[in-house]
Amino acid sequence: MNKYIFITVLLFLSVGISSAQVSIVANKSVQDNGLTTLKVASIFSLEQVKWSSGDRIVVFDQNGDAKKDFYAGIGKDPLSMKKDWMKKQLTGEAKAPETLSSDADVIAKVSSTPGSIGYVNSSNVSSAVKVLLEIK
Amino acid sequence: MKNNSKLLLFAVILMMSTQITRSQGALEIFGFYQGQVVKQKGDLTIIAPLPIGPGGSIVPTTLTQEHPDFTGSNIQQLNLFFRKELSGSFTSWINIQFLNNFSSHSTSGSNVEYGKLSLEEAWLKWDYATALSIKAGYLIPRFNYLNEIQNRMPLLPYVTRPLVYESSLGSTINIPAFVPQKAFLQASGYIPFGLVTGEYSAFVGQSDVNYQTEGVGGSLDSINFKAVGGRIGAKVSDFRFGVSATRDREKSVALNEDILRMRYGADFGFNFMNFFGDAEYISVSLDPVKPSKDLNKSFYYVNIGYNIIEEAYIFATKSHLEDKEVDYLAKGIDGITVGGGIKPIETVVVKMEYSNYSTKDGILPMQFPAGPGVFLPVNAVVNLDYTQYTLGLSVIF
Repeated sequence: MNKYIFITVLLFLSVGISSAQVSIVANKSVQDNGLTTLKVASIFSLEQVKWSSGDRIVVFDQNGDAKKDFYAGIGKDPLSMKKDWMKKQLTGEAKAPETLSSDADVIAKVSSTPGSIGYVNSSNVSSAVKVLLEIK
Repeated sequence: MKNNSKLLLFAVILMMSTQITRSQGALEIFGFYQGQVVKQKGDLTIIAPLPIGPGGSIVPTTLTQEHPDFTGSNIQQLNLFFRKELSGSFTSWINIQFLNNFSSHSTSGSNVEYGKLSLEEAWLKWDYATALSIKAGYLIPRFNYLNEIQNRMPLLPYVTRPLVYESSLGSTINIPAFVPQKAFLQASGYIPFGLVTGEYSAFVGQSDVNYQTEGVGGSLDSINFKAVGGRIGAKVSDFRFGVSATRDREKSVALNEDILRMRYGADFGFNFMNFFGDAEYISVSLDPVKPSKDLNKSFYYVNIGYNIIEEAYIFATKSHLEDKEVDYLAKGIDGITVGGGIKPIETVVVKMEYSNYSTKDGILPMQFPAGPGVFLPVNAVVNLDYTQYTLGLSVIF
């Protein structure tokens, strides 16, 4: 009996923690490959501002479905990230990312902006962009 | 005709700036302002033990009892920023600040000139790598966490800042003694160590503000000894902490000496669940060649807040300062601010708060005229207690 309860609880837990895959996508001009989540966190925190080629990184955020899973995946709180962006913007350190409304907007912007990076649900990735990392 | 010329000049400048904006699309012009409505209730008393009783006995005598109460409103601060990414590695930044309804000429028939217009920053930053950026020009150095952003009001939950960061207390507190004001060169960077991100900054700055007025045009810092300092810190997820230090000299008119001054700082901050908080400690050590009295200073603040929802928060801040060099602050001044804010949209914050500043039994040395040409040294006791209710509005544009 206890075994069944244990399995049921495990099942519920696994359903609870499962989430959609999020892909980190970049403009095809970006030469970097295989980013780590730490690197992605550093880029979205506006600490790393240049690609290895020396080109400036342009970050796009979004308010779509992928947002929650993305921030959970890189271990950051969206609200505190927003505060960090505002701090960097108002001290001249960096430009706060533009916030788009959906995966489709991110794909459109990233594919047309050299040096840019964003994130979308993996199911919405298109060939117009380059995938740098998948977060599960 | 004179007015027409002004209008023509204005139109030409406007057209030129439009052209610049068009041809150099990366030029960003933005800023913020903060307005406030304040109701203040104040109480200032100075009581001196004077030898005016029978037989020269001591009688505590009230020399001053003031109630500087008022209700008023103003645009406390307006900053204009000009930022341009000159290339993949170079960024230029200019920060112009208007304080207290700045007006350089009479308005509405009055002859009142007030406020202050100042060039706060003008620097060029070179991003060599994540681990190394160099800023050169006129900049606000990193020392602890709040120094660099003390004037970025939309970033702060409160209107009234912790003691050494509140410029309106500049006549009571020697603010530049606690925190470095300006630097001309700063290197900084981030270095990841797994889940921990190390951060550092090191600067060379202007000397004590009292030396700067001696230079050419009152702005060229012509003293040979400079301020050097920096901060080393670390971030883990949404927790950060750091330690800071500076070394410079204070110009002491009283001691006729350039006193070696060391500032030490520590800062901590976090975002956890819906809670946020930050705290700082500053210790200023002055080491005169001919010591006459303790000149050291210390300061701390603690701020705790809670995001009720993403668009609304509450907070409480406590700060305390002691300055042994200034007699009426030797026993300290305390500041408490409690309040909250709402953000109807992302770039607008409406802030409401109660704040109180008070000193307890500060000493004010005086000379009591006991007779013709005879003065007796007397230590008067100063107590001040100021309470403010403030409604603020921060707007980023």
